[in-house]
Amino acid sequence: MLQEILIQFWPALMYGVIGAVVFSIIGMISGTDETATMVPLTLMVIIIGAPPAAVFTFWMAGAVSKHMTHAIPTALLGIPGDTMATPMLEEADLLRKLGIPHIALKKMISSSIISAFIAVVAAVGFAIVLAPFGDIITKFAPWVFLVAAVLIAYFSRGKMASVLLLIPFVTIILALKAFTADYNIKLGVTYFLAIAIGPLIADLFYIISPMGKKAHHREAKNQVQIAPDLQMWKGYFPNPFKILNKKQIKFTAITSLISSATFVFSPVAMTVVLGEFVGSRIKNTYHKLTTVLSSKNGVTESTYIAEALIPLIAFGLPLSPVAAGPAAPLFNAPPVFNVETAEVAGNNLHHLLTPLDFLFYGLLSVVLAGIIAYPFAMNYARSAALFVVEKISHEAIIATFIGLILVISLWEGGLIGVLTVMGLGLIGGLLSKNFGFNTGCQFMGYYVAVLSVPAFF
Amino acid sequence: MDGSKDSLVEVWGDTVNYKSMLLAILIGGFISTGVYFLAKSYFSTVSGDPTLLSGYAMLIGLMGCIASGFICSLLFKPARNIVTESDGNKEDVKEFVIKLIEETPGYESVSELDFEVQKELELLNLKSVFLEAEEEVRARQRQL
Repeated sequence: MLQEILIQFWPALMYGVIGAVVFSIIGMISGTDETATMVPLTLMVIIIGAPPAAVFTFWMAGAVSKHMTHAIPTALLGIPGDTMATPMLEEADLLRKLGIPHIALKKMISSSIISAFIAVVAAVGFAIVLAPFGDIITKFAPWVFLVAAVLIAYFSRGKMASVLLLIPFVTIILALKAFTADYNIKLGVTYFLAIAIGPLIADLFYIISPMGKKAHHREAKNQVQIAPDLQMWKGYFPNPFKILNKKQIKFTAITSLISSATFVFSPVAMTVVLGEFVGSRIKNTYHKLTTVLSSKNGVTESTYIAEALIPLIAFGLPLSPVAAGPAAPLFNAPPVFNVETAEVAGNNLHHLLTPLDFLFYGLLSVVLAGIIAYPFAMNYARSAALFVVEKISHEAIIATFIGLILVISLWEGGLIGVLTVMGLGLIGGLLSKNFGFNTGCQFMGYYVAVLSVPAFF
Repeated sequence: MDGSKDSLVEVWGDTVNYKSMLLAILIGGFISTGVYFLAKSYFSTVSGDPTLLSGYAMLIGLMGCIASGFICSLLFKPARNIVTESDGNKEDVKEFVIKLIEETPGYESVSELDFEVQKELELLNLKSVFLEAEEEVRARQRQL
């Protein structure tokens, strides 16, 4: 049995290392949303023919690494590294004002690695428990997606508005699908990218208009404060168990387990909720800040891991915000992978890897992130943060992402793809910023349009 | 390129120079798509699995995106002022701690913390600051 698992070992190791390195770097750059970066790169790895275990290890090592290095700009600069880092800004800011952001960083990253190991094991366990229900759930998939979409919408900032907004949003997706079908084009990843980069597209259209430019006008350059240098640990590889105290290890473990079980909820929401839970248990300010921060960063890891692993192992259907968003290509990447629908049998990582494969390569991914991202973040945090903030202008990042959406949409659907990404991006971005109908809701709305609606009509 | 202060705008969470941003979009768009199309037409002349070749073209297109980003990072300097926070005057930190203590209902003193947490605070030179701050808060409350 071990032999079967190990056949894919070398490619998986190679892709895992690449994933860990690439996403450690990306995590350092602020504003690099997980979906926008992980979907195209993972898709690419799939298309060039990497074996299933290698694809999985690439994605998982990348996700774990990214959620370690995203702590660097968050703790040292007060700028969120990516979407998952935003709930931690408040605590990070307070620790900076106390003059100890390096402690914040140390603790966040240590908690990450511990939480990640726990989450892999817990997620596989939960998935195996849920797996017997997998067949039933797959049969009722159209309903399940609809219910999941309504729940995820209700727990977003828009609340009931988000639930109701599902209706026009799903209609728009259906309209776009009919439009592209007219030209014999079928888009997939373009929709995800449009949703992920929507806020940028909406912002760009807005500031090109005179009233938008005036509204967003700034008098001065952005003031960025970086904490001073303070090396406070010895050796290249600090022990995470020595950096966190007993209570912090305990809370990391508890929050990791809870967030692994609640795999259908928004990862950002879980981070916030569990952070509140931990904070309510500690009454000393310093201890509260460090413990809440470390638990929260641990949750960013465990939610991503569980929300990808459980749907992958138990259902083969993207039944969680992470599976529907950043991990989408693991489920659906035509022509290589596809989700099971009424017409077509499913063929994706769920069918190609066994639960033991997932456990083994999941742990391998966390080990790789631990070897690559962890010491890098611990030892080079400040110089890396300075480099990014001094040398990489926001203009350059915008240029890269514009290029990204153009290349992907052209690759998938030519000019029709570009029109789709512009239109959906604009609408999605506006809904997200102004109505609280966030990207998680939009991803689920996409799946309702693609899976539920055809089944009902 | 620094640009005049009038044309600074905030977009997608950070500040940019308006004209630089427009130029960057053009550069990003043209170089990325240009590279992608060149790769695509090259691979159409090569024999092999079309999905794989199309994937390679996308890969090269993505490298073009990164190249365009790199070029833009050379052309356009960040619209940011980077300031190293000063080491935190002890008095400022103490004032800040006092504020935090007063805002925390049911605040627990550092002397009640577990031994290992107290040691941590000592290593950070913060334990004395907290103790002094706590003393001042108590003094202020007695005065009220």
